[in-house]
Amino acid sequence: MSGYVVKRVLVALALVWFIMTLVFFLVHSLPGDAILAMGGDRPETMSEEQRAAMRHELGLDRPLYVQYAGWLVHAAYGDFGTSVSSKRPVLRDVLVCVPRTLELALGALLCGLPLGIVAGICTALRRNSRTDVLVNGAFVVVGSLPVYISGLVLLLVFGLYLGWVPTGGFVAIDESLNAHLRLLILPSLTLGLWLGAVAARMTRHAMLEVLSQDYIRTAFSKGLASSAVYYRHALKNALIPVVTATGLQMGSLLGGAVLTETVYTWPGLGLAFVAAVLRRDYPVIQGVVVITVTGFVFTNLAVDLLVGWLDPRISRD
Amino acid sequence: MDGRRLARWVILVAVFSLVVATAVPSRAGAPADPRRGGVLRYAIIGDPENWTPHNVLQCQNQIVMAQIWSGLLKYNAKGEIVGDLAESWQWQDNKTVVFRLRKGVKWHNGEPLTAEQVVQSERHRLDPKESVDARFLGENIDKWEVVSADTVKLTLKRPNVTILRWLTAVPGRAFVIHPKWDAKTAGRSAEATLGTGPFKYKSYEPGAKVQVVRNPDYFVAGMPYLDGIDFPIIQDSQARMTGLRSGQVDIYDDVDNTAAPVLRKEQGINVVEGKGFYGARLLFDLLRPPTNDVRVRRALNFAINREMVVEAALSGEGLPIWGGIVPPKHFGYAKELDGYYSFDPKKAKALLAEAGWKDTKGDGKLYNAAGQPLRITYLTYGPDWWSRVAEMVQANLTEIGATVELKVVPWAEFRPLRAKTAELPEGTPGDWNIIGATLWGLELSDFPVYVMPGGYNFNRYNNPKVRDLLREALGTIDDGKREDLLRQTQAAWIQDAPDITVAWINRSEIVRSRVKNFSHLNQDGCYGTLVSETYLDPK
Repeated sequence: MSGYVVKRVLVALALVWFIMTLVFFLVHSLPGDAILAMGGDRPETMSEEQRAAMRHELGLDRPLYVQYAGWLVHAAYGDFGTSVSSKRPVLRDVLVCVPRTLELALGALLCGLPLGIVAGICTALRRNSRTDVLVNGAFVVVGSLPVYISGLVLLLVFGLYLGWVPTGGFVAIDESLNAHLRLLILPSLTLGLWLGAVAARMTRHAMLEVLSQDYIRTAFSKGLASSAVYYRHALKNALIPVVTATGLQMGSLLGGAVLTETVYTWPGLGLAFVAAVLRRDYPVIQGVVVITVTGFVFTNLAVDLLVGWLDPRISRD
Repeated sequence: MDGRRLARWVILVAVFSLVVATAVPSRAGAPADPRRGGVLRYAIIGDPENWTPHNVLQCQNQIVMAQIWSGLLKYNAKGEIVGDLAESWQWQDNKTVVFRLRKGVKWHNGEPLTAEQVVQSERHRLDPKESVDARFLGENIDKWEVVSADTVKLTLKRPNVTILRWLTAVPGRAFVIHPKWDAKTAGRSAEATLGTGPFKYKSYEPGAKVQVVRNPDYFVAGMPYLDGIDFPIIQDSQARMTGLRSGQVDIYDDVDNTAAPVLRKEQGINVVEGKGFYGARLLFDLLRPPTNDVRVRRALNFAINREMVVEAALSGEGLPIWGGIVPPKHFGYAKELDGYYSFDPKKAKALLAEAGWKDTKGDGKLYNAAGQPLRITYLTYGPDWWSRVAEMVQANLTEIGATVELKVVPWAEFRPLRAKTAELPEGTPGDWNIIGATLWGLELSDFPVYVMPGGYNFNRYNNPKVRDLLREALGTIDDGKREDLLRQTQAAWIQDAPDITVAWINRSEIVRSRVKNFSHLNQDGCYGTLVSETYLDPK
């Protein structure tokens, strides 16, 4: 098992380095100029010398390979440079956003996963019934809708027309826990429904496969109660692919968070990333991507290790 | 009642009335009974990019900073320059102006504001490392001096009466900062973010909001009415609109033209607008064929249906420009130039024929004698009203036989491409016949940068007569003479047809009806709003 862990960690680190390099060069190949992009269309009278001084201060006038090497070394120590627009350390600004996005992801998991698993179990046990068709159909629709659309629909219905929950924004926990949690409801539901749709389909499929196994028939023939067969024997094995799939969905969840955060103005990593791209704030773009990718890679690593623990045969392979 | 008693009563009432009238301060436009208290929620489109008042480039910064800091001057609700920290000012000649400062102004920590601090702050604006306006100010300002405890003097290098605009907090960035202000710590605490404005800094949460609270020692007695202002940061315009409609936000600006007509019909919401000096302008590259030919430029002006552009691209939120570049009711408006252009495709084609562009192949397109098509390349920014205007213009020009290649790019890409044109060697044509731009500049005060050589003269416009007229206008104190010179400038400008001035665009803010006494300033600054006199009343 320890050899399996070491191997997986090394692969994860190599992947993070590769993504970092790719992002660095992609970002710097974007057309546009971060310094010039800062002004509006007013003829602000900043001279080219002032702009050159700003570029020099931010290291943007050095050769690209020098910038890359410097950035890589500093990034290893957690220093992602200074934001072109805010002049604040990137790490400081990005770390403020991380817990907000994690909160959103956690909220989505708490909303969507139980809902999806329960729905998957119900539809598997009532296969080809009206319940199966209706619930499946609903999740297919929800899962097919882009997050941006479902988010807007939920916002308009529950936020604007019914007024049950706020339409967006952010209040810090220490300012008001109640307001903070109320603002988290709609974004979590938006992402959670999408995640739930995936989990429902995976759970249904996995349950049907497990329920067709011989040992399940044996368990029934031994006289075990249905609930014991389904939840003690079938579900544990059915959850393995569900856990794996959910882990794989974390990347999409973080991607969906970008759109969700934009719709609901939830100031997480996604919103910070969008703003940075529009401003060509290279250090922030790189910082957000590195932190997100690192999080994703190591989340998947954790999932792999969890699966390895659930099924020891995998770690022996 | 006998006569003497009656006379005594009349005198008593008259004296009493006189006392009341002089004792109670009157403010033009002041509400009869403003409600005090409450927190206004003003949505801004992004984080303040920094807390360096003299380096502010983004509008959301200026709106926040204008609550915390004051300048020598400011704009009032009518768009007139009035005193802020300066009680009054006087031109001694066309290069020297003396400001008398208000008495009793305090910083947010209770320290008194001094004349030395004002001068120190203004000198800070002349430092190129600290101020984006240093170059322009440095070209125009000779020195700032302290004359007495409540008087400062500004001496210019050359006459420029519009310098006062650059001394307003918005859009002039002329915030007077505390001597101990430090870029590294400003914006992190109230102690490091001292101003003299109506509100004090309370907190800033990146990505979330900025909060300011009432300054009880503000130098305008009885103001502000509000307890504070929250500036939630909402980047997406739809999210801002939804926030306002759901009651979470009281005001938002940077309103898309398509939203204003829809929101006007909603209950509980008001559209506050002003017809300031802000518009759509398309610059011709005066060196690149075929727009290096003035007949072609004039023809293209006649080909544009500006009414249709305003209706279709701006949702009717604007006014077509058929003549001079100063809008009606603004200083320098040249009524005599109205109707110089009209939508006349026949005239456009006639002018083009005169310039050698004809439909020689019978396919509806225009060609020159060498058989080359009339090809126009057009660069603009989008998605926004810029790209919508561009699509309408492309359609109009295609109808008269031009082939228009339109390129719409994001802002970060657009500005460098446009700037590159201005920096080309003399005589070198750029890559674009038409480049999108905006029209700014009360009293054409910004126009020197558009007509002088340098980084903002994107079309390399070079007419010494226009430059000289403009310089003379800016140096003339007499309003009547100055206005006449501005009209002459526009008359000379329009002859050259260096651009297509399409429309002045309405700027507006959307406010909930509980927001009272909120003003849109009819100037060209960052959405020009006045919040310090605003109050909240649910009625």
